[in-house]
Amino acid sequence: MVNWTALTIFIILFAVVTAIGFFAARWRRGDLNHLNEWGLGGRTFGTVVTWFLLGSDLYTAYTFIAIPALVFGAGAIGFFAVPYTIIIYPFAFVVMPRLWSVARKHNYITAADFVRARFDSRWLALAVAFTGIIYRPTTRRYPGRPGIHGINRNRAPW
Amino acid sequence: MSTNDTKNNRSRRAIVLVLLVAPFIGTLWVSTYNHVAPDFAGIPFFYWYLFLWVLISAVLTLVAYLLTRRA
Repeated sequence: MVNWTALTIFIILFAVVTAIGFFAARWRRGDLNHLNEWGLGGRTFGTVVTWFLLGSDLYTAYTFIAIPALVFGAGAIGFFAVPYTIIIYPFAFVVMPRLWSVARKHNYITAADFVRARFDSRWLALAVAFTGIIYRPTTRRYPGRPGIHGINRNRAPW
Repeated sequence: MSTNDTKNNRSRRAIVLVLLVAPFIGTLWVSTYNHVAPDFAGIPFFYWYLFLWVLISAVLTLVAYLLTRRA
């Protein structure tokens, strides 16, 4: 028994996302031999793109699969995710613009670059980078789509 | 005049600080809202209180942004 409604929606969304993917690959093509083109989209993302990046960073498989599963299995303890989501924005509002301007001035590409320079510690930088790699599969990141953990713009959106 | 300006800036910064710290107190002090009553349309207090903070926090951050941008 085929669920035609679900199948149709799936095929349409799959086609649209695939088309957007091919279109995006040609849009503002950068030289991927440069690390800041590969990792930060050439630091050219504006307010709208950044807004979507922040949203897609938050609303991932973690939000849609991990947290509901936790609530289903363990109950209201899973609701820690709601305060976490609420307080991350005032926090980002204070921290991110400063992080952005420092990172831009010194040409840091990743959070690990910043930590290494700021705290003069290779081991701490390694720990930050390693955490980022562990976290990576859960946020489904790919080149040109850095997350809140990357420092990703040339123009400040705020 | 300049002393008045710095005084204005300092009180503005204090307001921004309160606006940004409020969500932390409102959401992380769990024992203040860990209740069933009063419910809202059958939804226990715990849940609708937290979801209300999503909106409040967004508004507070917006006001903080407007205040810091003018400064």
